Amino acid sequence: MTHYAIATDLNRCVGCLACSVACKAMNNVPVGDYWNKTLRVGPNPKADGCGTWPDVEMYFLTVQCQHCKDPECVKVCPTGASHIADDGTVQIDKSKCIGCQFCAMSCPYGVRYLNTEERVVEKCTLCEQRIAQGELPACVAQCGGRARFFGDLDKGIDSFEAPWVVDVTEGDPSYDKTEHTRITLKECVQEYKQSDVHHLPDVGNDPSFVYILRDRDWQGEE
Amino acid sequence: MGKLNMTRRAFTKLAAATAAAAAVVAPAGAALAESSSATQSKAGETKRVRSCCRGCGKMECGVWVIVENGRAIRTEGDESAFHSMGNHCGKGQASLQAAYHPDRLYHPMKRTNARGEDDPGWVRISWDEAMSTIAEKLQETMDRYGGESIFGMSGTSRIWGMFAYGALGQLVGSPNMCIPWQVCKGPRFFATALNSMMQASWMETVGRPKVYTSWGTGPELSNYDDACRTVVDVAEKADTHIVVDPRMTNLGKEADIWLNLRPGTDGAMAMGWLNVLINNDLYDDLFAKKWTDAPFLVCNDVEPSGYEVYRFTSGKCQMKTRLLKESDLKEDGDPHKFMVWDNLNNRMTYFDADSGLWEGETWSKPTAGHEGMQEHLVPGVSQGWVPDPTPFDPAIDPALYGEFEVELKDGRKSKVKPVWEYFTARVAEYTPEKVSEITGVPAESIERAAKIHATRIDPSTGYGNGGVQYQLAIEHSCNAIAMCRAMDTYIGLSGNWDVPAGHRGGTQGEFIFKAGLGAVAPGIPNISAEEFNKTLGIEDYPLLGWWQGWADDASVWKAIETGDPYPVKAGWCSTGDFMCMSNSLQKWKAFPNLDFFVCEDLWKTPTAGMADILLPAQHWLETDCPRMSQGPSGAQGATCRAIEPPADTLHDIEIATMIYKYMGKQWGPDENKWPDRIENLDIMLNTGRQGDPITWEEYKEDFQKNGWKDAKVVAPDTWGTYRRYETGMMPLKAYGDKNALEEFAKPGFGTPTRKMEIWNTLIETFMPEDEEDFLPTYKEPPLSPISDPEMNEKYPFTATSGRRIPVYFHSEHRQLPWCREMWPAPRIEINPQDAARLGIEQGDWVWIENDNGKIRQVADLYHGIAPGTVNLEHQWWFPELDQADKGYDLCGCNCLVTTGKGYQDRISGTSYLRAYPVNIYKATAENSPFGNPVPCDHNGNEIIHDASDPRLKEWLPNYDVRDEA
Repeated sequence: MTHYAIATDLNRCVGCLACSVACKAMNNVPVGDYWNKTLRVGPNPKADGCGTWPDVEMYFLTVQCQHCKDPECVKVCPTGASHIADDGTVQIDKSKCIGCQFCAMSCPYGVRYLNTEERVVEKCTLCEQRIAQGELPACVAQCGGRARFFGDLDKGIDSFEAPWVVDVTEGDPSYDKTEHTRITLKECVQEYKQSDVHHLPDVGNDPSFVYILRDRDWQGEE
Repeated sequence: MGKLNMTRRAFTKLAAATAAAAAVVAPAGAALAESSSATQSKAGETKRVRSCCRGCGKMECGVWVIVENGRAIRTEGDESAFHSMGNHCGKGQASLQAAYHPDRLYHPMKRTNARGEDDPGWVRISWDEAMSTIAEKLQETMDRYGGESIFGMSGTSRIWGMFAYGALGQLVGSPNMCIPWQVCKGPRFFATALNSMMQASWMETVGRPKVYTSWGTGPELSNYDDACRTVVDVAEKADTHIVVDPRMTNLGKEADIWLNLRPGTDGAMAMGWLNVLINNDLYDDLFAKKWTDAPFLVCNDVEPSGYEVYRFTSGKCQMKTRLLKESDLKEDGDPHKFMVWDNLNNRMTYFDADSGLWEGETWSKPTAGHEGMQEHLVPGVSQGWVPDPTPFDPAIDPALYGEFEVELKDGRKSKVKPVWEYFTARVAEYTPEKVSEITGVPAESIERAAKIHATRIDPSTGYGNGGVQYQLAIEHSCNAIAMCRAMDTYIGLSGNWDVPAGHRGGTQGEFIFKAGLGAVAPGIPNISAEEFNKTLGIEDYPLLGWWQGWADDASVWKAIETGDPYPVKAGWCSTGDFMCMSNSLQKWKAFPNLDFFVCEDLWKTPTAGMADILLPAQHWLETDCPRMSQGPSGAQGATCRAIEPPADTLHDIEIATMIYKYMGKQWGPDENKWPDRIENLDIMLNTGRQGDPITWEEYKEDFQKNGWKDAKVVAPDTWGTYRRYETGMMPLKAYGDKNALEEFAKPGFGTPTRKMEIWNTLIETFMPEDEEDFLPTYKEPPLSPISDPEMNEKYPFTATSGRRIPVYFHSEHRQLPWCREMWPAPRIEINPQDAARLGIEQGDWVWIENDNGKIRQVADLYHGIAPGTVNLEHQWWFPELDQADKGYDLCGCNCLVTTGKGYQDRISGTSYLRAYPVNIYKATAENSPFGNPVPCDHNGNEIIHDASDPRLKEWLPNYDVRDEA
């Protein structure tokens, strides 16, 4: 069974907000809603430092729907609008959504928003309209630091993909070719240890998204 | 097969209608391919236009523009753009919203209320009325006061906003161009033009340095000369990543070494790096002897003399140097022959700056060399060819050390020493310990960083570990030229000058891009040296008379205010703004003294708020223009019109050509005096062209199909070859020569002596009293705690500024919802210890003040900045305010800037934008106008400071406004 997710290498993420804007641009997200937000974590004093500047460390954290394996939002939805799709992603069937926002309240990450015009709840769909066509979510495609990778968790995050540079000297650098030239996470990023792999806090919802962070303290408990 | 290109909403509908969940998960499968054509035929034609972004003016990121039914619906990175690696930042993606913005200017307008009123009373006029009025007013001003009484302002763009970089001056005969170049890149170019070659400050990041050093910059957010994606990848793959910056930067969080220096002390750090380089014998001895003026002899007993050299833009001047020449020794001696002591043969010999050759040398273009040996180059970037360093032939060994007695032509004896002796004595003052005292960085960190940078990781390459990406922060503390000269010298001596991943200036491709489209009227000469000598500020900054690149901004505004030394009465602003340098408040006060002011822009900016006439510019999605990497990214491509421009808007090149025509002045060549926009592009493409002539249409078609070109491949001699000082291919006309493709080859650099001038003959010529600056040096910022303790007691925080914001480019994009909702209000970074002491919490509005003014920004408690230092944001204005000044004075930190001689760079006049004292305190109802800590307009209405503000929604694309306009 497929289980799509995103893995983000936080050492390559520089908080450039390109993914946050890309999400807006791709999905027509209402002004003031953020399906994909970029948080700054720190700078915080390092555990082994002098306790203040300049012994500080920082990272950025991109937060969106984590497409959990056991999502609270699906459990609390009274109409079945929120559901797990066949590709493992959590989706909202808007025709069933009554805008009660129980799901938004139950989400541990605060990434669901009521669309006040349509009176339905919205959130990251992992760009379902794109991934269904073999394309990548906009936040992965446009990631400034080439820090984000998309793939099927069942195949392991090393197989996750991002776009990569098309060799113009080979000829025909067409749009289709630029859309489908890929690099895997393993090929692209520095080595990491299992202890560098993190998830957002799990309160029983089993979040799917993966974060790699080397050489500093992960500030969210496992 | 046509690809699906559904919006999310269309997709949701489709998925619901077909309930084809199983099909939906198939990757680009046949199940959906059928729906594809249906969707497309319903939606109309989808086109993908290959283009080059202009969401900022700093980098030529390749992009795709997705156009449906004639509307651009999205822009995406072009993964075949090797120089930007497919990067397309938040600014770039959001800039689409500018094209369809309801507040955009769609027609020429004229003011009907007096300047200074909140409501200018804009009334729509025709292009004919606008141009006739402008032509008449400019002519009146020229007739009454002379052309120099007209000043220009520009933005920073390359494809628009370039008119006041030169062409306006050519039109009216004025040297008084106030351009942001003076505070950004310009000082680096000025310094490197003095020292070696204009633009040598630019480092070839795409060449993948083994040690990546980022100094006073933030390309990961600004795409400053390199795309975010490139620098992240380069920094990660480098053996060592060094950052020099007062604050922890977004990419700097990953640095191996962070030299967290006190703001404004970069010059001392640079001198410290030179000290480590020389004291550890890590410098390139042959380069020092053969390609710098280090072995030239300084003679304190001669009158400074020399020969005629070219000023940078127009005319010549007489060099006056104490470097010993044959003409100092013999009556009929040649002033071009610079004497050196030859240790090998124990005799005097010389280098002839006229021929570019040493005594007895015959020269031919070197043929020995090898391909670059860089790792991790991305596909599309070639290695290039690196000539081997050539030895002295005939063999000599110019002395760097020692003292020698010479007999002058009048029979006097004189003791002379090589430049190197003076230089190394100066550098010896800047030990790591001394630099530590100045900068606050531990001496061992300074030494470690410089040693790692300068020690070759792979000596078999024959060149260094890569350059130093030193950028604009170092230009803003009144030590700009000296610091950049120190760095350029360090780069040369450390083996990183015009080598792979080293410093090699702007990309040279199949044609000469020059300063950008519309910057120069191509058919007529530039203004004369005599006219340039009227440049405002030239008395305080005499080298401006050589450089001729800008007028001193503060001096021009002083002349507007006071009429001294002569009146400045009219101006033209080409998508620039007055807030970028000097003091914004002083300028706003002086504005009404102008008789006439015209502004072209997309928006009613604060600068437009003082204009008499507004001209509507076009958006990059609507314009055509060839593009070339400004820096050494080595890419040649284009911005291509993807959507039709609306209403009365025009591209700058059309506006520029039109005003020339209205004033009866020739713009283009004799056979086509006023070319249209496409003919202007044809002219550009065929200027200095390598290869067959080409039309814009042909060029554009090729670009759409084949994408970006690697300049190393299409221009093998001028770009594909490194160490061009060996091959006679130095690309810039600094010395008056052309490169070998146009005329004839001479080895060396573009300076008066053809050497990297550590001892600078131009500074010596133009500023003979300023001996300290003949050599690279460091001076404290004039208002630092050390220079002015009294002022710092009154204002105990050191303010730095200019940190890059991911969604803004200087003054741009504040009215784009996708940008403003990400970063609604300006932020002041404060160390949490300081904040706690002052009772300031995260998100509080904070007053920031000094003798020049006071502003407010929102507190961001940031452990990444030193206690006692704050970081401010610049060029904020509020498009949402319904008043002419748009609240430029509420938050922008350039209201706090000090100007005047002594408070600007002593050589370039560059504004003092960082490292000055301020005081800060919490804004409260009691100490704020309207009883509101939030900045407000003149009637008490708040600025937008929250993403929930309904005014943001009013700024969403409005296609009707565009259609109806």
